[in-house]
Amino acid sequence: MRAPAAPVRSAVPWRLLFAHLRRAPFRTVLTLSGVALAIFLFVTLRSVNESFSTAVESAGRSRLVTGSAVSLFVNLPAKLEQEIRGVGGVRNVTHWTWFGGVYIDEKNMFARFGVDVPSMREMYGDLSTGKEILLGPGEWDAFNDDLQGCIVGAGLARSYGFKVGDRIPMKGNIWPGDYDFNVRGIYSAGSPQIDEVSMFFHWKHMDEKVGRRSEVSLFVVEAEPGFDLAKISRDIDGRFESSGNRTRSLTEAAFNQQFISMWGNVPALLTLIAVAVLFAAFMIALNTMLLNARDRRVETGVLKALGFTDRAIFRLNAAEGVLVCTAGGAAGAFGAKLLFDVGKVDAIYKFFPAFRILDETMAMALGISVLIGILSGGIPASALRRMSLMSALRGIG
Amino acid sequence: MLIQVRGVVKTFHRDAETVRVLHGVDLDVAAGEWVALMGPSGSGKTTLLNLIGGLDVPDAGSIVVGGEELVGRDGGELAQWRARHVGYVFQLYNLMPVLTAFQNVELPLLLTPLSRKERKDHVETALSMVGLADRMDHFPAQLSGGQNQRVAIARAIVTDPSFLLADEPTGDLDRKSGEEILQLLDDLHRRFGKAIVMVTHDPHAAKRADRLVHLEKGVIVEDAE
Ligand SMILES: Nc1ncnc2c1ncn2[C@@H]1O[C@H](COP(=O)(O)OP(=O)(O)OP(=O)(O)O)[C@@H](O)[C@H]1O
Ligand SMILES: [Mg+2]
Repeated sequence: MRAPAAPVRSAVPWRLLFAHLRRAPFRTVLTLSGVALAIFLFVTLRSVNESFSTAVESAGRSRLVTGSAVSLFVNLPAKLEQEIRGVGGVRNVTHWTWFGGVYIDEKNMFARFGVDVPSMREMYGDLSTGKEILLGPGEWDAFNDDLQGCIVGAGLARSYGFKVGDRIPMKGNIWPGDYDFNVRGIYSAGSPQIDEVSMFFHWKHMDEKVGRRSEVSLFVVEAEPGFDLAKISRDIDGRFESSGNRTRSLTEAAFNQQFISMWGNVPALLTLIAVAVLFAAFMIALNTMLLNARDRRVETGVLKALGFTDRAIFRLNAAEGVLVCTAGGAAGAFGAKLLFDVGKVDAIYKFFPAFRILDETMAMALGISVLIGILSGGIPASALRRMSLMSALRGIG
Repeated sequence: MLIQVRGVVKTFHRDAETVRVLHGVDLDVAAGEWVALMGPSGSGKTTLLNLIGGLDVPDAGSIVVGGEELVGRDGGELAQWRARHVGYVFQLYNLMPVLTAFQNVELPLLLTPLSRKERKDHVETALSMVGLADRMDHFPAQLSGGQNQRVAIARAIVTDPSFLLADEPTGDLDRKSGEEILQLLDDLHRRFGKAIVMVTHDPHAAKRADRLVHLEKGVIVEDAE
């Protein structure tokens, strides 16, 4: 045998890392899953919180929502539309009306709105600049031309298997009667303002069905560019001030904010839960790594005796934490993305229509996993590094 | 002279207590010599062996190995020196349970610039020298105590060190396996001229050595050929 040349100072016995992971698969998988679960929750909770602010931030800059000054649940006469159109600076007006109703079973809950199709198309559809509701012109035409027609969101279509041409029977409660809607199109959302789990049909149809009640829930008012929204809002509300139908007009952002404030402290609570869960994951990871370090004292002593440096010992053990936690974090983060973005689990969109997993959230999740890894791997690793060769060999300290 | 130990003093601190283990030890080991170190439990045999192997540093004195002074070097330099010059055999084998025999033996070679292929050649040579060429892919738990100690010896010789340090290499083995280990050390000593410093409690094992050194209460009391 030849005498080997000078030792390489920085050599780290990386194979030991993988051997350890492989030989204790249960420990590895448990730790990895703990971090994965925590990061999954973090991504989900943060995205829910983001959806709240997205709803406000993405609100139409030139739109007002006019409802009853009494309550969100009080309707307004449809005829107010003409007067609103007369207010200076108003470019277009459409209206949305909450239908309620039952589709086969009470349990099948999704939002159903009666709308004015032509003005809706102008404000949100293919004729608008924003194109917030994505639907082909042919489908818009078909929807428009069929008084019993309806369009459904892509998420809703997936959940219930709706296809163009299907009939959707519906029992009215707020707007009584037996309805039969024809699916004329399946839309998708072109903006976070629009969710993909709603159903829209002709307000005219339900109004006729109940014998011309002529009421709507809300008007959405689009202003001419350059006009002051606050002034238009004051003008509209001023016009009905002394009538029996006092209105309250809010910018779309303020209107959305109203819904969010109904959630109260929920966003803060979610943040708290996310932080607590991450901390728990860190402690799980740290605990595993400390147990590992305990088991490896003699082994570390032997490595040192063989000539591996303290630095190599540190890197070997710290890398294990980083590897396991990063893998777990990536699994959790991409798992959430897969489930919600690709798999489109509709349950979450029903509650949080603007739910989006931002790239920023993914980056944060991965960053946090690496950080958990560095801490949980680094703390025991530096203990092993500092441990004197002799105490390590004797398995003490 | 391969190893020159002069006036070595070693003290351990346990809590408030100070235990002086070596009280000025002098010892010479010639190249190619096999020295057996005996003495009662707690007399400082392991401590002395660790100092010679650069695993620990003395409080006073000088240790010159192959013309190089060990005392005064920092941890990193000592680590490098150990990787190049020392083959250490422990009483409890101290193999990595998660690595195969092959990988255990290869471990010290990871500190060398040898290529993968060269490492493989060295490991196979070392394992066949200890008669375990056919057990390369076994894990320590799948091997007997004697076989584990042979793997440990292969790991100690694979870098072709100048000398071997063995701390009760047969202490945990039955008579027959112990005999095989001693025979193996004997071969290495005779055929490859390796110097060996071996701690043992077994007079029978000590007979294999060229020279017997007695340590008692931290001083060398008898040094017989
Ligand atoms: N790292 C240490 N810290 C504190 N005390 C130590 C340390 N290492 C050894 N000692 C003490 O030094 C003394 C000598 O220990 P050493 O291990 O050298 O004895 P030994 O001759 O090898 O004994 P044995 O035959 O039992 O292996 C003992 O009293 C031991 O407790
Ligand atoms: Mg001893």
